[in-house]
Amino acid sequence: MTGNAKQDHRLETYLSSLERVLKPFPVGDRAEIVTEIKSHILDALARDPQTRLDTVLSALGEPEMVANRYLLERGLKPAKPPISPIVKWMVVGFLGTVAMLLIFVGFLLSRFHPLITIDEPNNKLTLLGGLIKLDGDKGTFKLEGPFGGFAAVFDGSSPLNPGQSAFVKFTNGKFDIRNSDENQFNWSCRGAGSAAPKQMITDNTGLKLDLTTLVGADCELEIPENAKLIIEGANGKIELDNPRFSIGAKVTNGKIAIDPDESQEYIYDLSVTTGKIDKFVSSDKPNALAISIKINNGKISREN
Amino acid sequence: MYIAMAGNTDNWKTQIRKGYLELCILLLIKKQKKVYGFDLLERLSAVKLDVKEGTIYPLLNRMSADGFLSSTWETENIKGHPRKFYSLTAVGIKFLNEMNDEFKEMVTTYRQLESRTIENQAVENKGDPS
Repeated sequence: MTGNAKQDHRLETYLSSLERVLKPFPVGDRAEIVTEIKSHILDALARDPQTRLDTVLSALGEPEMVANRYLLERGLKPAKPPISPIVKWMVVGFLGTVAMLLIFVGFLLSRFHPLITIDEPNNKLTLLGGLIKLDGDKGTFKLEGPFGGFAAVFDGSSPLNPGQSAFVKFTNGKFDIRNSDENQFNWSCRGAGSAAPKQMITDNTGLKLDLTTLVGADCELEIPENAKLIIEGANGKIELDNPRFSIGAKVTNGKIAIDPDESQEYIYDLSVTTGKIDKFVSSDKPNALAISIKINNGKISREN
Repeated sequence: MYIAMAGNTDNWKTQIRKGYLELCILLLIKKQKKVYGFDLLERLSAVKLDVKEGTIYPLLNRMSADGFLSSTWETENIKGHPRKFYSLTAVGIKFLNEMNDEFKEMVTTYRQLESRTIENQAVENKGDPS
């Protein structure tokens, strides 16, 4: 027809679209219209050999529009225009996002499966496939990460004799420190983290507890009488409850509250770079316990 | 305000051209006795009546459906493609005559109104010292 396979295809496509929108017309009329338009196109191409098919089709206009004009002239309703490509792609984008969301939710559900497990006789509740464990009897809340996390209840105990030191290192934490009944250094911590806290025995001087990997440690420490506690961390709140042990504490930002034992003598070495220190009276007795505290920003307060 | 007025003119132009175009097409077909679409487009273009290709065919189709035109398919030679030739029907000729009369009346009225305006302007100019 046009002497070129590609052009022929383009022409056929155009005429097909035209015919499709002309559906309201009887089949005979439709065929005549398509033939006439095709005839026009061939005449236009023949008139000027330089003319390209695209030019002729552009002059005619979109096949849907031409067909609509036929419909309008005859008082028929024009066909709906095809969906704009922009709208089409917006819909595709939206559906794609929904699909991704569903896949993600599906993944989460499969990872944290089953969502809830209730163990009534034992008074236990497990959520999100074991990520969260609640024990009604013990009153504990445990977080066990499936991504390689660790149990966020970290308990322990180690013998600590008078004169020996317990060395505790932390990043962020809250510590409630009191006396231990026997010569045992006891600790009980809650917190989440990417790696388990480390506990090391350091030759004869004592025990080292590295809680730096705990995020938001919340600990109870029990120190034996006349032992020493060295505690160092970045941000923290420490409460010393009637200590019968010596203390060396270093905190960057934080608050340390001391409730001194009435029957105990202490020598205080307290310094706060920016902040406040309550009044403490040092003793000059030989059996006084050393309490040395250094805070950059914060407060050392007295609790009685 | 200027822009709004320009928009109004376009609308009016479209309206008036539509009716005028139909008259001209029928006149041309009457003159040629028999004409096909592409040929018609070229003749209209020659008298500066440019019509969009996508407009004329639906128009011819409608006028045929209204009974003003009849058509036949003819192929120039064995190698050629078929062409649809249009002629006026008896109804079409009658319709054309009515349109012609109406249009002539419109032109007369227009000329009257226009000349009157010129007359008035001349009278006003006489009395105007500037």
